[in-house]
Amino acid sequence: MAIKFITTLFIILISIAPVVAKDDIVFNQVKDFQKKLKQEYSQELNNLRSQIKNDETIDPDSYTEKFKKINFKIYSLIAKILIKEKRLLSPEHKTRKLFSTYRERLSQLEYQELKVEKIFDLINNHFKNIEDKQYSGHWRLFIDYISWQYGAVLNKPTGSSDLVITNKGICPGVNYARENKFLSFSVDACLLQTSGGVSSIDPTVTYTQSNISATGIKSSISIGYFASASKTEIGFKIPLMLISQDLEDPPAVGYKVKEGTNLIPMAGVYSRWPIGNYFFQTEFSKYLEEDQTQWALGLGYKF
Amino acid sequence: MKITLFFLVILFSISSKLSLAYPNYIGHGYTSCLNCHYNPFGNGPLNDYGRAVSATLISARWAYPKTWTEEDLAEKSGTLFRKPKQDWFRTQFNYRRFRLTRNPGSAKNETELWLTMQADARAIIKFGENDKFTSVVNYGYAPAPLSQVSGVSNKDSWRSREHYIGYKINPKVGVYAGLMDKVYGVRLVEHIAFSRSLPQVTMNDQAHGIAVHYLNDKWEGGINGFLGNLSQEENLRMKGGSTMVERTIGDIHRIGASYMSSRNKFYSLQSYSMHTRLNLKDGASIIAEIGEVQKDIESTQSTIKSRYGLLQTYLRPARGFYVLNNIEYAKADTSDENYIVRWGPAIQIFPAQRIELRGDIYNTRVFGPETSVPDNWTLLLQTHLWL
Repeated sequence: MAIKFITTLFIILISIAPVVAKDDIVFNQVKDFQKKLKQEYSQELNNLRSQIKNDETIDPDSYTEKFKKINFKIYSLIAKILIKEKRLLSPEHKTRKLFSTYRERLSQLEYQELKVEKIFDLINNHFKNIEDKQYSGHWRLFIDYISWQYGAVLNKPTGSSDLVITNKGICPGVNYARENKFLSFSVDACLLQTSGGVSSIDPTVTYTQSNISATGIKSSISIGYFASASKTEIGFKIPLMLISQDLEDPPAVGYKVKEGTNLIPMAGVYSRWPIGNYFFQTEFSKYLEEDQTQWALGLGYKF
Repeated sequence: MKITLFFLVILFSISSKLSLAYPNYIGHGYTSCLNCHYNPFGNGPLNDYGRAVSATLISARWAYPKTWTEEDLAEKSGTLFRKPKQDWFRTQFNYRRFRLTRNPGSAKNETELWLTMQADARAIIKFGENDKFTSVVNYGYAPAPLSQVSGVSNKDSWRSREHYIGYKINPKVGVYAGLMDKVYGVRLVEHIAFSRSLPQVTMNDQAHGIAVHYLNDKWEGGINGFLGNLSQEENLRMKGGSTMVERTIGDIHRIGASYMSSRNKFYSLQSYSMHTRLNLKDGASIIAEIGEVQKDIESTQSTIKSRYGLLQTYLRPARGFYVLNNIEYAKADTSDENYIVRWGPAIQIFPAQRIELRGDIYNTRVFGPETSVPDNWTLLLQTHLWL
């Protein structure tokens, strides 16, 4: 086991060593060029710094081509370091600040302006891409208008009849999502407060009740995709509903109602439509084990 | 009561379906139908710009060589896959076939039906700057209605869907005369929508008449006087008038209202509605409409008032691919407590220009204080081709 661990560690170290070494080489090159600037072009460097600081008009022709070239070289090398960066560096990070400083110098010196801007955009896009892929957590509160059907069986002395209950009501709840610019992974839970009426599917059997209260919890996990610039979201959802709804037995002897399962797993689709921090959402799910559905339409607020 | 509910569900679920207009493209910034259609209220043949939009914005482009530019695609959007050589004459052909499955996946009562819903040939003659004069003829196949009416035998038929002439008096005002759809509400793709079936502005409800269209920066609207479809028997023709007005909000959204009054020998209808179309950018949009219809029946001297609501959401995850959801509400009689909610998620794919593939699921649920019936399910697969 120990040998395997050491071998793996060795392979990892071997594989990353050239990268580290290469980065160090680039850093050293930047330092060397900076040293060269300070030693051989100190006059020009001080002038440029002071003119930029004092917001003075700069005449690019008063600077030597070599001085400009070294500045561009440093700028390019810093870009090389930044483009390899996998983490999100803020614009205030020292390397990014240094990069901006050299961009400013080159722009004032009017040297290779197109290339300078192209490199600058490349680096900005690189960090924008890293930022877009970074996940952050968000809480939402919502209230859904919900409707769902539920099956039961009326056992009779001569057999049985299927019953169906159509429920409607509200489900206030909370959602937590980890999301980046493109994807959202979330969990949510809400408290079901609904009521419904029950009838027999067989029209020859008369069994009806109305306004039967149903309470429970609906919890879901979901994966979503942001499909527009306004962050409208669409995705798949796996809700699980735990419900309690008591049906009365008919008064006649030998008749008894057997309620369906209390735990209903489902699979469905959802969409979410933001308007500022507010949003409205839709959900349509089918029960995994029954030919029945639950749908919801809700409003909410994102924190 | 249960039998009534059953028939209500069946009636609302099995009506034939035909897609005609796409008001959801407000999500691409198109607030007015006039941009893409010869008929300024939408529906019917696409103009040259509309065909180019369909090729370059709506349809996917993965089937084409990468060397083809969007301009190449736009030029190939003409009827014969090329840019028309003259400006005055256009032809179009539309074909649409459905597979309709009721109670899909049910071992007990799944039924399947294949339907040709549309086989239309269209001809357009146009003259003048910005198509100042237009003449449109749209002739095609009409399948027999699926809903059976006692004593009436349903037959397939060929009929004129529309034929009219139009004249744009100036860039803001146009006058149109002939057989057209009535000016009312949002002309949705889904003609089975309650917002179209209850006010009777659906696939076979065109009427001969005159419509005036007005458009400026903020307002768009129209007035329509009609005499019914003159190919129908005199006593069946619905005669009357309608109006629809829309206002642009925040440059990209629309709100609107409609009113229609019509009658024939047997009954009169009064309909009114409010609607909105919201642009959520990148092809995403929301359409909502609420309305009421009052039907006064001559023979029984009775009145039935119906109410409907629609919420349609559209998303475009990728070019050529739309995900939509139709949420509809209908109360056939407002004095009754029963009502219907139909929930319809769907996907719509345009893999290349001239091809539309669409799959819809419709889940119809009846709500009533004393009854509960199992949901009605419908799966609809659709292929739409046009030349």
